Amino acid sequence: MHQAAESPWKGDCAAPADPPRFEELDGLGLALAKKVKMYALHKLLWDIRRDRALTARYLADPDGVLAEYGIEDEWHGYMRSLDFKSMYERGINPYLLYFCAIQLQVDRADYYRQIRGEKV
Amino acid sequence: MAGPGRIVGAFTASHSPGISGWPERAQPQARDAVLAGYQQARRQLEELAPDLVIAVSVEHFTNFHLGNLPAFAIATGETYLGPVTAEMAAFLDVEQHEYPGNAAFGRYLYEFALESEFDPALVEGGLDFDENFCVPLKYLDPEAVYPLVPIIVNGVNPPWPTPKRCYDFGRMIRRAVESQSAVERVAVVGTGGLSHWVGLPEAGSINSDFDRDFLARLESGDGAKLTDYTRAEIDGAGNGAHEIRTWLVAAGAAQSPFDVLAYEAVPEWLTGTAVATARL
Repeated sequence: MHQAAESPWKGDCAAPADPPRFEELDGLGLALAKKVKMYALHKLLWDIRRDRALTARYLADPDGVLAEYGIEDEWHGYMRSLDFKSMYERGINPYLLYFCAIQLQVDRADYYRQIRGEKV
Repeated sequence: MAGPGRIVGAFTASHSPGISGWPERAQPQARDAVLAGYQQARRQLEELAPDLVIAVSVEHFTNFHLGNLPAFAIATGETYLGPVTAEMAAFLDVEQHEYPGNAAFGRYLYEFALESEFDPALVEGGLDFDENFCVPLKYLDPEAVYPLVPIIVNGVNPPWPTPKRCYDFGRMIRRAVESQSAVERVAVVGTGGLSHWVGLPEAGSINSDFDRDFLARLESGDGAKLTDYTRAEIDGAGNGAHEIRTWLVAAGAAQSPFDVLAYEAVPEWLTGTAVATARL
């Protein structure tokens, strides 16, 4: 048996000053992501921002596009009714929500009224 | 043979789309003060005659997304398109055009970063600009004459790189500039912030206390004070306030106090809007 060699690594890796707490990771969406395919929704929002053809297709056939992206259950409902407030409250990135709203021809003021809970 | 490279100037500024897109909606006094600050920065930059501008900003999901979101990225393109679409060009009131890049220096900086134990993403091409660069460059370099090396810092999706890391990234840039002699005169431009909320209920609010305190720290030239922020403290000035990381990179590169050329809380632009220049 040879003895384990001393680690050659001598770097001074600083302890994090403001470490994330695993118990609070819901805030980063990790626990939610397992349940709701959060990445798929983020990807759809991003694709709508980038891809005019997809935007047109989404406006014409939202259910078809949501099925392609595997977006189901309550998330399907939020997207179907453009309920940005619920998605924001469940951890979806507000930049992507806002940009997607603009592409889907939602008026900016209407978006902000909705996100503030001033409009159902 | 040129002398060793040096950082001849560093500038920081907000990049709210409203500055260029709907200036008329702001209070005249606030608009004039911000645009005067930008004009002063432009004149200074012109006098400095930089051979290269290292342009540091975030990007708003124009190129990156949650399938690949680097904390830092260095671009090494020959050219950059901005604004990314004709639609965005109209929104920002910036004519769509190609911005020149300095690919060789970008590549050098990328390698220097890795050798310095930073781990940025490499973007060899295809990086398009949104308001991040298009709005400030409309005022600082309207003819797009300065070759750019764009650097992207994640400021749009948590978790973000720490303030200290951003400042140190700037120090690394300074070392890289001073460790070569091919490009002598380098300016750094950091854009973003200050307080603002994007896509959030608080949009239109300004946290002037945060902004003024941040600017005071910037003017002090004290890197320890400038980077002494927790995530929660920055959150208190909005998700958009996380863009101050780009100012920290510029301050790290400048290693000097800054002078604030303009600060205005402009709710019509949804942003605490500032322009500053390093006292070099």
